[in-house]
Amino acid sequence: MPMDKEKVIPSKYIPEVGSHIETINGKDYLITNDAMYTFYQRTKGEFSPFFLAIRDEKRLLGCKCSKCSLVRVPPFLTHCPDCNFAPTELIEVEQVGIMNTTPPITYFATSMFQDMAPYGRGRVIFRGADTAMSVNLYTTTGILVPGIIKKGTEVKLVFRDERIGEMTDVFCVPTAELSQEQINKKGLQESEIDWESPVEPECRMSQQRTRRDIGMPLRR
Amino acid sequence: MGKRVGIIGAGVTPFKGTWREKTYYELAQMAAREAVKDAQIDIHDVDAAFYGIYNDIFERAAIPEHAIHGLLGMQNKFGIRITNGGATGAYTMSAAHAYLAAGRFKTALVLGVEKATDCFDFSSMSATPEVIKSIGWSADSFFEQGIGWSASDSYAEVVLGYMDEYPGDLKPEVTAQISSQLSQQVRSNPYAQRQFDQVTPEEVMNSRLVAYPFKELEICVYTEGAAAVIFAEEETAKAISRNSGKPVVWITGVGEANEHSFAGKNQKVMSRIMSDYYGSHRAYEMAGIKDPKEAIDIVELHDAFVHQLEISMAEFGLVPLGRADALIEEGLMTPGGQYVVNPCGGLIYCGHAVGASNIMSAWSARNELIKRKLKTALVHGTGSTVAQYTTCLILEHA
Repeated sequence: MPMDKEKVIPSKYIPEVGSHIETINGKDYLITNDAMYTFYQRTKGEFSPFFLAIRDEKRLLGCKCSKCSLVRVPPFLTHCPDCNFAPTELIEVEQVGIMNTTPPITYFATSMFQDMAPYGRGRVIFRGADTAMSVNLYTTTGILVPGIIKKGTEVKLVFRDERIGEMTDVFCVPTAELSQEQINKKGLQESEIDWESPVEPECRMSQQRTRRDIGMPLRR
Repeated sequence: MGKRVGIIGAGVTPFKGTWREKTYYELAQMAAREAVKDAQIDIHDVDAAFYGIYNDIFERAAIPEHAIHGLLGMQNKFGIRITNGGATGAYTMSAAHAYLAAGRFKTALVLGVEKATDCFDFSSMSATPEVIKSIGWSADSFFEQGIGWSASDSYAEVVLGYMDEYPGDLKPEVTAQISSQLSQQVRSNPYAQRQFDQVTPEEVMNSRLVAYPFKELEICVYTEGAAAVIFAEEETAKAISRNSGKPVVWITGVGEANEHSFAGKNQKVMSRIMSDYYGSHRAYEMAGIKDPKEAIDIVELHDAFVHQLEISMAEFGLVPLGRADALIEEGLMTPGGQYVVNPCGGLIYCGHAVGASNIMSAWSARNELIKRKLKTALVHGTGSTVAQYTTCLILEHA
């Protein structure tokens, strides 16, 4: 989500009431500033335990099928469709996992995420899970560039210091950039990682893009 | 097997980056007028309407088709809207085909329209960031919207999954050459958004990264426009064809599939576009095609991204998985090669007016089959997160 959280829609995105004329082939056409907005009190329903566990306990939950034992993270269903809707139960999984595939990096973002670009988003299979969870990906070495995180890269789940019960409460960084103590710690928070002294990785494109004060996932 | 169904008329509006001088009401009517004119029938001869409109946000209205129905003269007749992500147009044709094959109607108008670039980002004072934001609402709203999902990054996930599996394929110089070739092919399409936007492979290679691994000149552009085709069941189609003097192009196969939208064990296989595999092979089976390499002459492929075009061609069985670069390196899709791929310029150069795009592709495939005197074309639509949705249609010109 964008950085400015004081309003659901940050004021910089909201145009003033107005209109203008564009002339094409000698004819005038009217264009008005407009919006199509709807506010929500969004129910999280059966996902509430998952988001509350992240927000309040810094735990990661999945659901395990009572019949096939498949563990889905996040726990996006209560009954397994592969087993004729056998019930699932919530279980906790570990906070270290591997990348399911090489993640994309977005440079040209939507209007909601321009402040965040470039950013990585990818899918991680955490230990104890069978399915992959989408997360934002960061490096402690500066801006994320291709080659730092690939298929099979081991990553650690990191919790924001301020959490609101959304997927933005967590992100992942490569375990290769953390100490063993940090890797082992359950509920590692962003403020426990050194973002101020990035060590430049040896990979393609890194030299021209790494800067000291960027790549810090402190805002969202 | 139901009744035989064919295309007896088609029309498109010019595809443009923006239509300041037309609303989607008028764009819809423009395409419908062209289609009935092409078929040489009256709109009142049409029994039912099928509307392909992807995104309510683009049109700034829920159920945006309701006004169009009467504006086309279809009042008091059957009308239904289909919305299936990027594959909306292809799925709309699939639905219309099913109704006619079942004998519900004799004729149907299949109309796609999209007014995408009214969306506007007032912070950057440009349209594109807001257009792709509105598409971002298509993502899973609990787990993925809030962390920056976009159409580009979700297709990039699949392409990178494929590249993990086949690291020697989808070479940058090959994707650049395909984009350059498409930019040459679009020259003959006077309705295209980028008819005169020819680029060299070097320019493609040097264009900026939008979402790794996609470069700007390897991605479809957002477009406003409309496309329409008129379907008829066999006897009606033959009668209309005798009157118009234009041959019927038969729809001999239709296949669809929607995959999982999450990844991992028993979920979406991220290195494949299985929806393309299932959709194409189901269409082949219905059409009685045993060897697609032998049968397919023209492919009008939904090229949201050049890399995905290559993977889709492999999933169709037209080039081996892991060797999709043979499309260029072995000349399979270069001029004079085995396949004519996206003679209209594809969505990258003709443009991507989402609900209308696949219908524009059918318009092009039908015209090219007749013009080139070829027999069989494959029309394809892909969409949703991680290339989850596919519909394929086989068109045959006797």
